[in-house]
Parts: sequence; structure tokens; C-alpha cells
Amino acid sequence: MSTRTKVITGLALLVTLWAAAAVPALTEAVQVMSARLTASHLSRPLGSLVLALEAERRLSAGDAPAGPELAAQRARTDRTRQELRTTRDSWISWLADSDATRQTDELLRRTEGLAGVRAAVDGAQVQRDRVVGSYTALIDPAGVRTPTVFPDQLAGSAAGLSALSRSRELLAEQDAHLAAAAGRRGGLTEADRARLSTLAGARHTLFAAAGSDLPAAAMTGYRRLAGDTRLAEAESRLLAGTGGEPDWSAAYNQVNTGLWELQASGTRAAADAATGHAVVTVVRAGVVGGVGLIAVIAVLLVARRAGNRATAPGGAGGPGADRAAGAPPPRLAPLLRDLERRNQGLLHRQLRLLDALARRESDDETLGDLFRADHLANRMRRNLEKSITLAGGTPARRWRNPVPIAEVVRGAASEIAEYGRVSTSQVEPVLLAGTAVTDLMHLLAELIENGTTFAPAETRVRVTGSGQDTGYRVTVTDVGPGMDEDDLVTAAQVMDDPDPPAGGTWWGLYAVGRFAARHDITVVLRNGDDGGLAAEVIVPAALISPAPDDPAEQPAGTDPTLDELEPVMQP
Amino acid sequence: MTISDEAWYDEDAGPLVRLYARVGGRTTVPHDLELGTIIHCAPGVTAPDGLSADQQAALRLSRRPMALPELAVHLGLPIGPTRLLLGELREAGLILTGRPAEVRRGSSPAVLQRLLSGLRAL
Repeated sequence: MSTRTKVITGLALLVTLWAAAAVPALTEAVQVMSARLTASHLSRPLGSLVLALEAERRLSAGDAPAGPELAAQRARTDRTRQELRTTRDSWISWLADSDATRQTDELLRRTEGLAGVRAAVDGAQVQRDRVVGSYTALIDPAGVRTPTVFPDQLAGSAAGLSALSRSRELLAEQDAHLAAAAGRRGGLTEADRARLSTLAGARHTLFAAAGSDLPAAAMTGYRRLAGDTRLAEAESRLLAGTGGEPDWSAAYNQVNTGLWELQASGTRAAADAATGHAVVTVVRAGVVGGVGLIAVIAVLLVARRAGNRATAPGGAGGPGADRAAGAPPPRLAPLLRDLERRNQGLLHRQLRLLDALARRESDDETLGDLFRADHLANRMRRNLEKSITLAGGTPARRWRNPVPIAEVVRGAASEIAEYGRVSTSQVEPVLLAGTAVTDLMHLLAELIENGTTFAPAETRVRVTGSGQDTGYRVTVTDVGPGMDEDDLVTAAQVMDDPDPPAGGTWWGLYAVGRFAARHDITVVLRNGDDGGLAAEVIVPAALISPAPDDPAEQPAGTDPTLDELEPVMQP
Repeated sequence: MTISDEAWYDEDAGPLVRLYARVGGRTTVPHDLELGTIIHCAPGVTAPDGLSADQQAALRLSRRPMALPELAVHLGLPIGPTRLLLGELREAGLILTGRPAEVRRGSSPAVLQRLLSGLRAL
């Protein structure tokens, strides 16, 4: 559990750090991308609607408000408005908010009042100058911010282009007022002149201000427009009351178009100039987010593996259970089986070598070390053979001839970590069929190991064996706490079930069940009469044969070498 | 990669009970039990509970007096572990140990000659 907690804490820290670095970078990248995408898709329909509103304003203020020309323009306005609405509601609505979407939304919301303005125009309820004001309020109510320039798309050039756009809108407003005055009897009034000159002043100021802040690519067009004086001359004459209306109309169209084109080309140039910044932003976000994500995934994978290792059992669980949890791909199975066989061969040779070394060794200390090495190797062999058996194979160590069951019992005891705590002196001598030797040995090793694990460390685990009518009974008894009824039921189920249980607690008994099933051996767990657990293993009679007489019991004299020694030895 | 089908049967499979288990992992050999010691089961003893299988076998074998190396051969144990197990039996009073009869003084030169040639032949 502590390993898991550590891993989770580490992961949480890593994810937090990653989020702290990645979220701002990603947010900025999304905003930059969003600003560019929305601007490029919305600027055309948005500009069209502004221009359409300007055209409708002029016609509504003019001398023939109810004419077919106005009706056609209103239809055009409605179409452009619908186009803008459709574009806004397309996939663009999935992008983050940008200046383009905000300004589009505001313009669409304002132009919802278009019907009211038109109704007032048709009913001739308002003065024409008020009509102009109503339309102007639809386009730019505060008179400070053009809807057609998006600052977040343009970085440094936004102010210049905004001023340019405002100056064009003021020019169109001037033109609308002129149209309104022209439709009135008596032409321009003093109030008209005052209004026009205010608009003209504002327009000149904005146009001049734009000049210092436009992208370099737009400066040529700007200078050409600034050098064109025809509009200014017509304007002067109008304001002075000395005619000039026809000159104004011609110059107005040219300058209005020129300003519009200048704004469009300036916007393109500014957007291109900002591309480098956008690319850097997006790439940085990708690197920060991507590298961080890879790190998080890598840690997750490592943690998963570590987690698997942490839940894997020690000696009792065994590699067989590990493999079941790891679930290798099917084609890997033969390869793994071959590796297991090879490991068996190597271990076999190692054990043989250790045995030879131990038999030759006369130094007590070295011999003790050799014994420990031998013990470890023997436990490895037990795990390996268990793994092979659980996977359905047969270990390479085999017996054709029957083997004294006492040796099998003692072999089982020697396979566990605390073999010194096992007493095996009360085993009636019989022979066990060779085919069952490794399986019964590993089966008993599991039960004995359970006993040494759960009973107090200073106590012994007793293994006894005696013949029965139905076969031969080996009993493994410990003086531990025993098991409660629920656990005894679970244990019986686990030993019966061919599928391994989840979790390592019952893997040892699962292996017992598998070993037993291979030879019709019966294993029953019960609580001992004087505490502790007693595991009764009934080996079928078919696997048991009577032990021959002990050769040591044979009368002396059968061994000639002993007789030859006799004369020189003192009895 | 070829599939290895190596298997070991019976004797080749190696001992079921390994040496360390037969002596309980102990290595402290009583050095006064010399190679030539004769082992004899104490009269009238029966093997008490708690003896290892090899110690029980040693008791049975030594009903007839037997030299330590012979006993080791019968048990299939090296000399060191045999001494260790016998040392414990001796401490428990289960066996008696004796020394080989001294070669009789004035033994015939023929016997000595045979001994010498035997040693040379080694």
C-alpha cells in the first residue's frame, strides 16, 4: 500500500506541474488559433453587412425612401446578415471566443433592431437625420469602435487599422447625411454643416493617426489616398455652401472603396506579420503539452508495472500466478515454456555442482555458505516446477520407480524457507508412485509453508503419515490460530476451482488444489483438536505400494567388505 | 531456438532430500570423532522421537559395530555431516564410540609389507 501511495503522490505532483506549464501555453495557443480562424472566416461577411447597412442607411435617408432601390438593398442587407449568422453558427461556434466572434455577436444583436428602424423609415415617423443616426447606432453605437477590425488577430497594427476603418465609416456617415440633406427642401442647414464639419474633423484626425500605425505593406496605398485631394476640395465647397455635390459623389465612391481596400490589405499584412508569433505559440504549447503528456504516460506505465510487482506474491505465489496476471500473448507461450525448460536444465546443473562442492568441502564456514546457496537454488527449482505444473506441463525431473514417501515428505519440507521448523519423523514407510513424486512434494510444501507462515515462529510444524483403507494419509499440523468457518469454506472453494483467485492471499491453496487434481489426491483443511490447522492429504491407494524391508535390517555378513575389515577392528 | 526436451529420471533426477536438509543446515563437526572411530549402537536403546531419518538409519546400521567411513557410505553422506549426526547421537547416549584395535606389536613383516605395497598402490 505504501508503494502505491508513493506512486499516486508522485503522479499527482507530476500532473499538477504538467498542468501548470501546459494549461497557459495551450490556452494561449487555442486563443491565437481561434483568433486567426474566426477572423479569417468572419471578416468578409461582417464587412459585407457593415457595407450593406451603410448602403441601406444612405438610401433610407435619401429622397426616395420607399422606392424599389431601397427594397432591393434591404433584401441584400438581410442576405448578408443571414450569411454572417450562418457563418457564426457553423463550426466556428466550437472555437474559443475571440474579438471576431464577440464583434459579430454584438453586430448581430444590434441589427435585430433593424426591423424597427425600417418600420420608422417606412412610416416617415422620424426625420431623415435621425434615420442616419439610427443606422449608425446599429453599426457602431458608441462611435469609438469599428466592428470590422479584430485587435486580437492583428497584434501591433490593430490601432492603425481601427482608426482607418473608423475614418471610412465616418466618411460613409457624412455621405448619408449629405443624402438626407439633399432630399430636404432648402438643402444643407447650418446644423447640417456643423455636423458635417464635426464628422470631417474626426475623420481627418483618425486618418492621420492611422498613418503612423499601419503595416509597412499598406503604406503605399495609404499615401496615395492621402495625396488625393478631390474629396477634400468637394467637402470644403459643400461646407462653404458653394456647391460641390457632384464632385463629392464621384470622389466619395473612390475614396470609400480605396479606404476599404486599404483596410483589407492592411489586415492581411498585419495577420501575416503575426503568423510567426502564432506559430511559436502553438509549437511551444505542443512541446510543453506533448512532452509533459509523454512524461505522465511513462510514469503511469512504470507505476502500473511497479504496482503489478507490488501485488505479486513472494515465494508462495510463484511465477505461475505472476504469469497468469501478466497474460502474455498466445504466441509467446511456447517461447516461455522453452525458457522454463532451459532454466530447469541450468538449475539442475547448478544443484548438482553445489552438491558436489558441499560433499568435498571440509571447512565448516564454507560448507554453511554452500548449504545456503543450495537451499536457495532448491527453492528456485520449486517455484519453477510449480510454474510449469500450473501451466499444464510436467517438470523435467521425473521418477519411473516408486520412491519412499518419507523422502517426498522431507523433500517437501526442505523446499520451504524455514525448513528447520518442520518435524517429519513420524511417517510410516511406504512407496509412492514415481509419477506423483514432484506434485505431492510441491503440494505438501505449500501446506507446510502455510503452517510455518501462520504459526508462531518458535513452534514446529509436524508432518505425519500413516496408511489408511482408502490410501495413505499425510497430515500437516501447525499450532497457529487456525481458520474460521468462512475461511475454511473459501479455502475448499479455492482448492476446487481450476481458475486462480484474485489477489495473492489464496494462491498457495490454489496451487495445492491444482497439484491434488492431477492425481485424485484429496486435501481437507480442518481445525486441529488442540488448536492450529490440520491439513489432511489423502493419497489414493493406487499410488501407494508397500515399502520393502529396510536393507539395514538385513543380517550382517552380506557385505563382504565389512567382513574383510573385521579382523583389524576391535569390536 | 530449438525446444529443449531434456528430462532426468530416477537417479539422474538427483536426491529428493538435499544435503543441507539432512543435517538441518548445521556444519559444526565434532572433531574428536576421528575417521577410524568404530560406532556401536548402545545396548537396548530405541530411537526416540525427534531424530532425523539419517540418525535413525545410523542407529539401525550400528547394531553391528561399524567404522565411521562405512557408516557414511551406507548413509550416502560425506564424512563431515556423518560425524555431525553421530556426534549428536553420542551426546544423547545412543551410540558408543571406540578406537580401532591397535595393530599387534611384533606383527609379522609380511603384514607390514602388504600394508606398504597397499599404500604405494594408492
